[in-house]
Amino acid sequence: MDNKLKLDIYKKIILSRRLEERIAELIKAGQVGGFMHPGVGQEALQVAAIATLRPSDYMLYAHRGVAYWVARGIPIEKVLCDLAGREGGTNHGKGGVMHVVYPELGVLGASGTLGGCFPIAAGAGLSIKVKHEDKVVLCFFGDGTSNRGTFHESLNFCAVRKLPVVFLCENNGWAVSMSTEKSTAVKDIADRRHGYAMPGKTFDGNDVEQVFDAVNQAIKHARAGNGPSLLEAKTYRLWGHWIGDPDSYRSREEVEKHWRRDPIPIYERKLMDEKVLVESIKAEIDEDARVQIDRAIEFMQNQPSPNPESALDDVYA
Amino acid sequence: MRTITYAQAIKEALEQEMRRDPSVVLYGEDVANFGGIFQITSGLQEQFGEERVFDTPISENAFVGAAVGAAITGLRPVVELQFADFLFTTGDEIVLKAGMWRYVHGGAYKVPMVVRCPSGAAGVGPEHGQCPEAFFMHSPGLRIVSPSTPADAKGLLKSAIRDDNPVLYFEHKLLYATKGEVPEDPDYLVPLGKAAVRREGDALTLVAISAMVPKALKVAERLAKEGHNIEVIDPRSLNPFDRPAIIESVKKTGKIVVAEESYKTLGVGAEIGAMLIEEALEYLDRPLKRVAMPDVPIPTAAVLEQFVIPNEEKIYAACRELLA
Amino acid sequence: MPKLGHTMTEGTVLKWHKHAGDQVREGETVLTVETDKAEIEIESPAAGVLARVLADEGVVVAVGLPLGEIVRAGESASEAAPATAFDKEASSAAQNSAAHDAASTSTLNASAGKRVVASPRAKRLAAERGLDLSSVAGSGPNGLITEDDVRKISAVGVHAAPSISPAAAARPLVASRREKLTRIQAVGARNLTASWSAIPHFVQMVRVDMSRALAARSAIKGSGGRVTITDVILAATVIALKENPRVNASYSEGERLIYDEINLGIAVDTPDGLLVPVIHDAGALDVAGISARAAELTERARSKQLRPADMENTTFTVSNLGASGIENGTPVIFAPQAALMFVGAIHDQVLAIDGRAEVRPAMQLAIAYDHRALDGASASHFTTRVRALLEAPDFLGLNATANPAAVTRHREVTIDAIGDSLKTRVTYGSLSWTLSAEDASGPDPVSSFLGALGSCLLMSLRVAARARNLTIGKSSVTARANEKGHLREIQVELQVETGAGDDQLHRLVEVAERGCHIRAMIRDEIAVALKVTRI
Repeated sequence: MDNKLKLDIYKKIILSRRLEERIAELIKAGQVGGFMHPGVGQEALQVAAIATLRPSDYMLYAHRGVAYWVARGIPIEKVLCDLAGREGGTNHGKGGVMHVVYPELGVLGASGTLGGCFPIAAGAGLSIKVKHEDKVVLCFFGDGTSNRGTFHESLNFCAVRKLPVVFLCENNGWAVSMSTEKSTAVKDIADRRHGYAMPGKTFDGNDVEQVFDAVNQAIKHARAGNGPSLLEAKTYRLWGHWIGDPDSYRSREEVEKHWRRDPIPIYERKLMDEKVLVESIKAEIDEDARVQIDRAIEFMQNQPSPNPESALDDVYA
Repeated sequence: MRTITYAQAIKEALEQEMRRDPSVVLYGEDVANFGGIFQITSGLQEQFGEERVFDTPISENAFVGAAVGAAITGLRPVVELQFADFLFTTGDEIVLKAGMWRYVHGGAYKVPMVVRCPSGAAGVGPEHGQCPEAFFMHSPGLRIVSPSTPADAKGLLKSAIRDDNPVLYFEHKLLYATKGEVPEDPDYLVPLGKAAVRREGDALTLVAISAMVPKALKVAERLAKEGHNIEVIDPRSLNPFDRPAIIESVKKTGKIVVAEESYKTLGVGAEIGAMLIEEALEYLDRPLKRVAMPDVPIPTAAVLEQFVIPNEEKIYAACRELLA
Repeated sequence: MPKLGHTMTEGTVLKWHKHAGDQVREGETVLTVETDKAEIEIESPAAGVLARVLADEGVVVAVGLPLGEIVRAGESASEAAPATAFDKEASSAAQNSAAHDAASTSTLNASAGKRVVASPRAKRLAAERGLDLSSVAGSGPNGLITEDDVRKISAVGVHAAPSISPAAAARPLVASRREKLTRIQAVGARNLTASWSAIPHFVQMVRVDMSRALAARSAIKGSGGRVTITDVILAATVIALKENPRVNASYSEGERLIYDEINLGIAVDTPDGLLVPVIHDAGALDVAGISARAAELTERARSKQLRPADMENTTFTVSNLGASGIENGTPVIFAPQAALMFVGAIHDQVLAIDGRAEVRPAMQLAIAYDHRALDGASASHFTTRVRALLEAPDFLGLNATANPAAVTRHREVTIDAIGDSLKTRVTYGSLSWTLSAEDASGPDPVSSFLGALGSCLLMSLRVAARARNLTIGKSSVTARANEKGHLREIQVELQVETGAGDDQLHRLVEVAERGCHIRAMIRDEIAVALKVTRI
């Protein structure tokens, strides 16, 4: 990872965090009707992983936060318009922020049902293989979701047909109120790779470089035609499951403990140590993010609601 | 024109479309190496190669969902389910993914896929013999066709493959061996959404779905000898559904029987009934009659299955009652 | 279905010229319907698309019920595609059902709130035909009244003519062809059956000497007028009706309804059947006016352009059989009129005139009267008046001798030999008379001369009297000459009624004799003896 890339990753992480903070404000103030599953605490993982992709690759994101879209380069005002259910977003109010879509950058959308992503990812991989394209699929999902049947069928299917799909589990320890320990038979989800005879790895999801390296390796493996991988990034969900979640099922100590491992300050220190980041640039980046977000919010607030009768559009091609 | 079977017509459609468009791929359980458990697809892997025609593991959720993923990224997959009943196994992938991916993402993608579903009671019990068109008629975003003749089997499958929407293609198992004239034309297409008037008449409208069509035609012949000229309509598509064709016919005849091999409650006949009350009430001279299965699973023993499945006698009796 | 006439309750859809889905312009003909009286073209009330045809060809539709639906440009049709505007579909279906419900409710209400169980289709058909279903037994399940049940009911509810079937024959007679009556014919059949059964008819017949009427018509024609003999007859009829108002009337429930307005119906035969257009307020027209109206109406009747208003409110009908050479007939009155006149063909007949048999153009009139409104005596006033007017058509305002336009030149007379007989035809302008030395078809020349002499003397006398302010009442002359051979002597006897004294009278006669041109032409060798007698 060169410095340019490191800084770029940092900027996107900051923008993601700041954007989520502002979105939380908007939602709590009742200024947007949508809801959000915040990804605070998982930004480093998502941004670093997506940094390994080419623009033509395909991506299926999980529902945890905005960093996927910031990292991929989707204009943030579009994300806000989708959140607010207005025109000017990516899906004309049809799906809200749970279905941000961006075909130009291979962002295929999302399944409303957890685990719907796995077969879709397999299908995108199938398409790449049949058409002999130089593309890969990166599929994000949470620890809880990996217990769906579709996970097992799809990994098997991809392994058997050697499809170029990288399955990346964001193990944040919680599925709403259920801890991973209580829901999942294995301790490390990446261990499930053995059931599907594919390579994989468990690593620290809050360490940008670990994430980048692990994902990059799997991406290269897939791009070379060698088939799928199952990766697991250990991380933590710092906020509740959704904005407004009372989060009463977790102990304050646990949450506090993980705040001390917030990836952002850790990465900042690291970059500063490497002299990639200095205070002034940090401040600039922060300010930049704030300005971008302000502009994006203003843009969103000026967008019209979709025409009610458009509810009948786009069912069929 | 040559005469071929319904099964051969399906295969010919697949061959022609796969030759025409390299993005068409075909897969399912046992379809490639074995040629499908109904032997529809034998030889296709040899023709088109393993990349385009392949067998899948027993993973309906994965491979039907994969059809959605493949369709939105540039392929036109044709998935063969071994039994239409397995649509329930893949409920999420069919109803929520295939049917809704385009809509929920604001029209960003189209989902050009076909799921071939062998349907109909054939002595193999309740989970391998349903005709579940009505369930999916209720689901927005899915096109549905049920051909009753070899020519339509070919023409509708080709249209389904060329359609940019997900299409559930119901091929009735007991129709596979039926024969009919089928054009060789590689561009022979039967449009979706257009009913076929199989027999013109004015005494009564008999709407028949899928394998009910040949039975309906036999009933029509019998009634003709008794002096009643009935009209037999084969909708062919359940989505889009050719409502005007049925309404026009009822305006003429004033009497209607719907024959379908599915459960009576909320079957296709229920939709037709509601539609007639809404749009053609003053043309009805009698109440609607539905000839359908009772709301019970399909039993396996032959005598039990025969009791529940609508047959020619039941259709005839329903017509006679209205014609009295 | 519009109400196109005061008595119209329904019409039959004859032909749709536009079909569902076609564009229509405002005012463009969309369909043709047939009423009791005529075929009418219905025009589109707006520009747009004919979205639906609601009544097929051949269907009878009550006035006020819909024939079709036009959707204006820019509006949605009430039958939209399934995926959009579903609420419009439902609401228009609801409106349609509501309209038919309203119609069927009125059908229901027709009989003391009894609940009628009929299929929606049967109700709709009944509503279209204005039928009451409350007394219909249904043949459907559970006594449901079905479409078939409604079709079996007589469609129009006017007194059905009792059908008369012959006693069953051993070998039944089978029609080799069946011709459906046109609607006009069918309605006519019904109406005439009603007239025939309801009205006690009596018929009066007279023979009319048409020679003067024909001459008068020629006179008008010769002066550039366009009047037919039928027009003359119509004009005479109008005058007779004015003088006999009880004939221009209707019988109704013990009353004679008398109309001031004379609306004269003239029967016209067309390929579709007999049509009777009406000259409204004929009493205000002279013969030229009547002629113009009659010509126009006849033309429009023949080209199927009559409007219902053209055939309304007839008070008296004239039917001219003469065109087909029929001499006489027994008319059937068109209820609710009180009479109907047949006019027979005009042809030369032998009439007894002043004791002599003469050939004159003559025709029969046959007038049928409603015996409830009129008796024979009152009817005969009318009958004879029509004849009198035609035999002395002074009402035409023509005077054979006084009309200068009828004469081309004074004192120029043309004499034509009649074949190789001893008869001549004398023509003076438009007047002509016969002189005969061999039979009684006209006077011999000498007698004609004696008539001229006597007439001249008489006229001269009157002129002289007028000049002297003397009054002459009755006056006549007898002029006699020797019966055979050359004229040798003429005796003229002048009978005068006057208050003048003898001397005055004497002098008057002298002056008259001197002033008489004919007298001046008699040679002195012929002895003229003039005798004057007082009456």
